[in-house]
Amino acid sequence: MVNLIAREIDVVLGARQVLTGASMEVCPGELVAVLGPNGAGKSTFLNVLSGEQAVRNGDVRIGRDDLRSFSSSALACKRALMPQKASLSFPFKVRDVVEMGRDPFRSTVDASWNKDAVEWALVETDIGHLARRIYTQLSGGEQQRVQLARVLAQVWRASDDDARFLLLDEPTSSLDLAHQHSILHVALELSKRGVGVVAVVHDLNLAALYATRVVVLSNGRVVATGNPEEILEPDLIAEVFDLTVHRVKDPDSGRRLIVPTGHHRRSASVVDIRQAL
Amino acid sequence: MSVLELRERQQFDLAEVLRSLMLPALGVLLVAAVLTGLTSGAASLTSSDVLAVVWAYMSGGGTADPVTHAIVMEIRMPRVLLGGMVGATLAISGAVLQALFRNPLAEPSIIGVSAGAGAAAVATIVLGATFGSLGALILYALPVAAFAGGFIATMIVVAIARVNGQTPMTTILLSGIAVAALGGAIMGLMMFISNDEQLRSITFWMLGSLGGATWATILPAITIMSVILLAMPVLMHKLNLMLLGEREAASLGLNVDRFKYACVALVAAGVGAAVAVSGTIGFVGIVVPHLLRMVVGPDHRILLPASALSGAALLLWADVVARTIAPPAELPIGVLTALLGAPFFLWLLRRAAREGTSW
Repeated sequence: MVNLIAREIDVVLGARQVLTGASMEVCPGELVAVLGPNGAGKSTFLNVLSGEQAVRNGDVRIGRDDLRSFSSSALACKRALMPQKASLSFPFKVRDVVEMGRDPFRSTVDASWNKDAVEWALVETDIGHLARRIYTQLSGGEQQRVQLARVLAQVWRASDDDARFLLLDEPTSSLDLAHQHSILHVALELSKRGVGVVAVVHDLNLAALYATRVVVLSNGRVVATGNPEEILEPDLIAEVFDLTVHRVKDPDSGRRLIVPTGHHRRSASVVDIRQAL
Repeated sequence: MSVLELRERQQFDLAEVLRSLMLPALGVLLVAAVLTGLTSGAASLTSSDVLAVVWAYMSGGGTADPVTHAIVMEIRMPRVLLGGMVGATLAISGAVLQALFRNPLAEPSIIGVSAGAGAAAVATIVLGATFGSLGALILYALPVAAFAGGFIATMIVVAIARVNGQTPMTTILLSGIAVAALGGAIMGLMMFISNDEQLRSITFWMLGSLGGATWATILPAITIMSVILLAMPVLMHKLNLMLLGEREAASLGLNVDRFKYACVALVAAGVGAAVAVSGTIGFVGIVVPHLLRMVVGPDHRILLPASALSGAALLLWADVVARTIAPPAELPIGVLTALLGAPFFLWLLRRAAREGTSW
């Protein structure tokens, strides 16, 4: 099994240390949710995993090979990255945008494979009916699904013997509830087909429901990693997110849902001020 | 999945039909422009005269009338070939730069190539005579100097803009403006110290012209310009990725910085060669790709070949007008393209502003 491994990563941007000794390993077949408050370093970590962000210390490998030893086109055949914000502002047709995801394979694989990948990605992200529409005229959520289809097409394979990784930076941020679930469902299905998926997610319940493993970041450090049921317990959430939560058992599925009940007291300084007065 | 495709095919898409007819239509327009360019002029010829000469030349037979042969093959053919190549090169270069800068107002002059070529050409006209008579050599010294000046100026622009292994397009833009201003200053200085005769050649050169095209003077330039034409099949896919965004392009396997360098170098060489033999011909590089984008959309798989065909056709038609509007005098073609191009461009700007889009 060929894994994507980041070891002891330090990243400094300007004067700020964004990641400190952060490590993580993704196996094909996993859906790893990266959790943490704003500014914890989640996006930077994802960029490090994709090879886009240079590191001060540490290394990133696919199997035994350092990411830096890959050419950018070789890397494009191994992993796809969906940035948090898409910058496309040109009136391409939706199908054309998704087809660009196959560009790394334009001359290396059968044209019909590339076509299949595009069709599959359009269907999986539920945008088949938008295929001929103009990207810039779509809603934010629809655009996000088009970008997702593009990266899905990039990691698609006719055969499943080659390790590959999909890195999603907040793929559900502009989606309605149903599509949030359907996207993570697609990501989970994809992981079952042998893709290692890493997704930055904000909704803890969504992570608990779909992720096979969670990695929790706080102030640039990995503070917890493991099974979502075990990791996402109230003490850790209070510590990392400054949020008080209850866990409530869902009578139907037996899963424990995380219900926020209020801001964690540590920062609720109103009480402190009253006492001081 | 095939159901999906079927449903898509059943819808009649006017834009799609227009798009598929675009390249053949532009091809016909170009062929017509070539024929008109070969037939019209001081000695009026018919299409069959021209075709007879070309046919005789191609088949190796000597049946054509020698005078007609000379007019077509030695005078008009190099001029038409040059016009087509210059128009195509300027239009493709504009399209490439507009994609790199993600801005519809980009054109070849903003990377400093025109100013560099202009400064070098003007300096050659003025100083060449001062340092000793170049005589007939001026015919070759001028284009060589202009090409070198344009290319070097662009390389300076890119080198200044490069910081920490990255070359942000905004910095290229700003350093391009500065280098263009410097080139303009050199031109002004040279004009200041020039004599009347030199000033006249400078003015003529700056107005742009396809006149004076002979096989010997155009072949090197055409060879250089054909490089960017031949690079089109590679460029068109990668330019689309660039429109997706630099990060997205990088994660799709494009070495973004190297690609920018290659594009800028191709444009500098192509436009440098074009300016070297035909002077500065404005507005083709900015208007042609901009207008086509409105019709065929942003996809460079169509936009680049369409730009090449229309740029070539436009310049050839403009040259026909320039030659025939006030015979025996020739209107400088650069004046004509700017005269038509500038108002048209202003209209485009107004229209885009009304619709709230710049693309």
